[in-house]
Amino acid sequence: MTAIFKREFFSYFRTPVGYVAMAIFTFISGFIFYTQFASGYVSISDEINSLRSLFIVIVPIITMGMFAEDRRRGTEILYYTNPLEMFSVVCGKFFAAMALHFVMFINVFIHIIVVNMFGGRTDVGVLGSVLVFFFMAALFISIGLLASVITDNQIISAIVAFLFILITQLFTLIGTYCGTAVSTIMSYMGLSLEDRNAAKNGVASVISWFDPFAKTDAFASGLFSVSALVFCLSFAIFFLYLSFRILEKKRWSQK
Amino acid sequence: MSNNANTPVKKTVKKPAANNGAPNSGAKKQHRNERAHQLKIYAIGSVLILLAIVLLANILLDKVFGKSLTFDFSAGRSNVISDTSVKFLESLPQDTRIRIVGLFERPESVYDTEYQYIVPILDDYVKKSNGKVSIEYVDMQKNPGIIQSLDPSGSFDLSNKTGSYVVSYNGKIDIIDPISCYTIDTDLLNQYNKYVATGINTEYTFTNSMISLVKGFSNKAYFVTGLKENASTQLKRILNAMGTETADIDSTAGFKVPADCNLLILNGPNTDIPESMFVEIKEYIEKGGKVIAAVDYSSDNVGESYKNLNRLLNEMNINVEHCMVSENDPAYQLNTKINDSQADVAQQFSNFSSEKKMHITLARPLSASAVKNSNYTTYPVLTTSAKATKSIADENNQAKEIVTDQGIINVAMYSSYNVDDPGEIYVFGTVNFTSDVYYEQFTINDRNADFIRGCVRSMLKMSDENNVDIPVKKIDGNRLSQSKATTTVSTGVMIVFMIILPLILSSMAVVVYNKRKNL
Amino acid sequence: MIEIKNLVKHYGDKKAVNDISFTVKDNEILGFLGPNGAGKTTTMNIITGYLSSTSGTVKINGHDILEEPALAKKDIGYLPEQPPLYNDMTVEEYLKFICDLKQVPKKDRKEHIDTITDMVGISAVTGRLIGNLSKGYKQRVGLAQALVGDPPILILDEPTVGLDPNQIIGIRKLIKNLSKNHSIIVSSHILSEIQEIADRVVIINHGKVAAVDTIMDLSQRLSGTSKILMSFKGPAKDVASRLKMIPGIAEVSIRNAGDIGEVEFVLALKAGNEVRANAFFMMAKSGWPILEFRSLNPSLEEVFLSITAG
Repeated sequence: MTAIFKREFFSYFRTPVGYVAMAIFTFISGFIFYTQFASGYVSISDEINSLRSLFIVIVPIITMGMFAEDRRRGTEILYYTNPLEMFSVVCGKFFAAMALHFVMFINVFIHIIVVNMFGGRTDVGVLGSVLVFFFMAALFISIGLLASVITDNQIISAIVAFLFILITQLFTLIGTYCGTAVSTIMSYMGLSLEDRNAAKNGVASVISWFDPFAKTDAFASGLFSVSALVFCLSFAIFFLYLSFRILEKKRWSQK
Repeated sequence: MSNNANTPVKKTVKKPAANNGAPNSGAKKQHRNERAHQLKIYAIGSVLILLAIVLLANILLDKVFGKSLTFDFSAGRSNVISDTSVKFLESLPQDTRIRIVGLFERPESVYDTEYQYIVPILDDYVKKSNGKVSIEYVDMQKNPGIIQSLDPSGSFDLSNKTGSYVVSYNGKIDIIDPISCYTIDTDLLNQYNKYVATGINTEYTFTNSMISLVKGFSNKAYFVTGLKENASTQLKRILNAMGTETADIDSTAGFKVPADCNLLILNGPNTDIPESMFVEIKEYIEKGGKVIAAVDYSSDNVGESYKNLNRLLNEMNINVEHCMVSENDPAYQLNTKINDSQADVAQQFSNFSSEKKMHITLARPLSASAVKNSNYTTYPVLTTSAKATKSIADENNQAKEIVTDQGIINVAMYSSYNVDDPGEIYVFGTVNFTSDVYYEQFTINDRNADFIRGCVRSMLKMSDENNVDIPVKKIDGNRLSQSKATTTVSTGVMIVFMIILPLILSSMAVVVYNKRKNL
Repeated sequence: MIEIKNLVKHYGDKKAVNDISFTVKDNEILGFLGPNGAGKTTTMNIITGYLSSTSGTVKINGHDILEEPALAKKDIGYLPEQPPLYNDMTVEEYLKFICDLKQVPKKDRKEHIDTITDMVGISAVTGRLIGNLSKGYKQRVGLAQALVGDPPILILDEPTVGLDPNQIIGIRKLIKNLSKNHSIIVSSHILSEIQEIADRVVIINHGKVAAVDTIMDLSQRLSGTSKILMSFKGPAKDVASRLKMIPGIAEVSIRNAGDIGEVEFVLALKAGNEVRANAFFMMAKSGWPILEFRSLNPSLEEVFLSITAG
């Protein structure tokens, strides 16, 4: 795993990709920080929560090449023909992307220092936001990685990852729409208003239950929920395992 | 060549040979296909099983253990209720049912909304109340029946209270606006139109609302209006929380102290009271009425000498002077200001608050009146240091002309009518005990709030059971120090974080690219 | 030691590999021959564990590639048809990464890489970016990759493709040297290339083994179907009919008729006959100058045909 991790992580810095991603992240986090700073009121939790919306752009860029590019360039064969566990390959790549996120996140740590230098305070909510940032990064990276496994083309992989992450961002909204749709269908079936409302709320709450953003929001106010972290982590592990199984398919596939 | 070592066996595989191998190969193929099939089942099965485990574990964690596995690490534990509330809930009979209804759909995400510090704490009430408190969120549009069920008489106009909470007990209800659960930084609100909470009163508000509903209001306080007086929302909240109902009463013609008035409050009138009111209040006190009066010396009332008010107060041996208290003792000054300082609490009032000094601002001196009325006994309540002077202020509230020698000056006084169950009055030369301006800055958890509670409690003969005092939870200020975070610094921040650092990284990208491209 | 038994690989309905069996002994070079599309790469991918077989077994030093992949793969160095190279790495970085993959102990790493780069002749380019290397160098970096970790078994899929003749000779020498303590499978679609180095050859066509043979036997059998190219100046028709009269020549076919009266004939010979002297005298007598005599190597297809026919 370390071999794969080292190669993937340092490859970000062999090409301009890593630096450009860092420059973009620095600029945007700097912009958010500066706007807050200029108003005399800095909430690092707010900054981190705003930065979470960058996942949708950064994660696909970072993960798109992970396996799709290996397949195109023929280096995939190395993973299959060397005495490696395919799962450790998946993990190595996953941790490389996590590490890149960590490097980019150094910006926020600098901001925290600056805030404390200028009399602002950083409370436990900031710690919560940082924690949430990385758990959600883990979740989204695992999604991006899966997208890279199931497609051969980098661009398609990026688009698939983008769509996946977009959907996770919109679960609450989607839930509401689905609920309304169900209710409408039921009204054609002549069901009572109460049943329709119950179904509508049921559908909406089931779908929005998957929204990782809603689950983790309370961390910023110092309310740490184990189940929200377990949610991110367990689905991340599931997506990694699914990627691993798809890659392992070569071991038994007849195609 | 090493083929000499090998036996040169001709192994031309021709059709017969292939046929010979066929049955054997068929068996092998069967075996292989089975193996592939098994692996396929294993792969798909393990993925499905893992998915099921992940889903089940998450649902279990979320629905069953979610609340017990949520930990409040915030400073001041702003998302859980304190022991005071827990004790109150425990003291209630087991069959008590307090229903809290949010008149809106439960927000999926409360972060950065006014419900951020309300929704979690209400959940905590439910968790710790052992079934006595329930919380539900109802959208009135979707479920209009809720209005009828909460407020059958329609006296609370619930249909216009979307977004508020209703606390309901035994048919009695109390409406809580989310904003009343916070103290807001007024400076930031005025300067940047930004709502930044400095303190959270959620638990204070809800617990006391429950207490009031369960025990009922025991007193009623009237606030005199129409005198350009200071705003009293925070003081009303303090009183409500003490089981005292609050109402306004207009000062204009026909002013009469209502019969159910237990406490009359003059909160920083900036104009004098009318003569009729002087007569009414005098009578009210002589009949055992309780009054709190506060005035200060601010730009809104520098010209006002409060002739009628002084006629009233002079009856009680108190005179409000038409000048300002200047505190010259640096040990008493706050921020080295002469008009923003601390005052000593007189001995017999020291049990009102654990603090021995109160915060006064732009105070008027109080003195004994020229003619002494022996029907009243009068005491100083708050006094300055021995170095204070009385002064006339300039437009910047700085002492322009000092009118007395240095000495101790009274800033608040108390007077009572010499009968059993006497009429009582507290007069403050500052509005720091009554006005919203003060409490918005220092919250109703301040020492001055403690002190005014003590005044009210002693006048209304309250026991502590009627209310609980729950400290306001301060939200850690995310405000930068204004002296450090100047405009120049913030420009510097912009240059460093938005220009220099991204440029350095971009140029590293170029350097690395150029360096490696030609390797 | 590689044992391949009854290997079958289906791609849908198409049988890419159809019941292939052969064995590679220790310290032996096995030439793996077949025309393009014969199933060479598929077979090699199965042997190295990249693809799964539909049926049949592959055992590497006694370990089944599917049942004990870690043990089996540890012993294999594989140079695939397309060398698995990262263009954004330098040769040195790449080989270090491969050392990591193959768990070469850290302390031996530098020496090991130096040895290998010397062996395949890429010492001069270790600091260069793989993406900037010529095809020949890339091929050799791929070969170096297969040698990392000193695996006892090497599987080389067309190792000399894209190399210039000098480099080909170098690589052949290298493979020959390696065979002292390695079992090697070298694939190619060019017979002559394999003939030089292999101890034995396996020829496959359409997914089936057409022949397993030692080089010596193969040469003997091939001599039965040798062809000669003869170019001369003279009237094509006359020459053809005169040539056919020479005993030992089975068939004469015209390959190319040039503008300036230069004609190329292909003479198919009967087994065991030497006809060049007879042909020379016949042509000289008639005053038709012979410009060139050249033996033609049989193409793999022809070999395959001759083997199956013979």
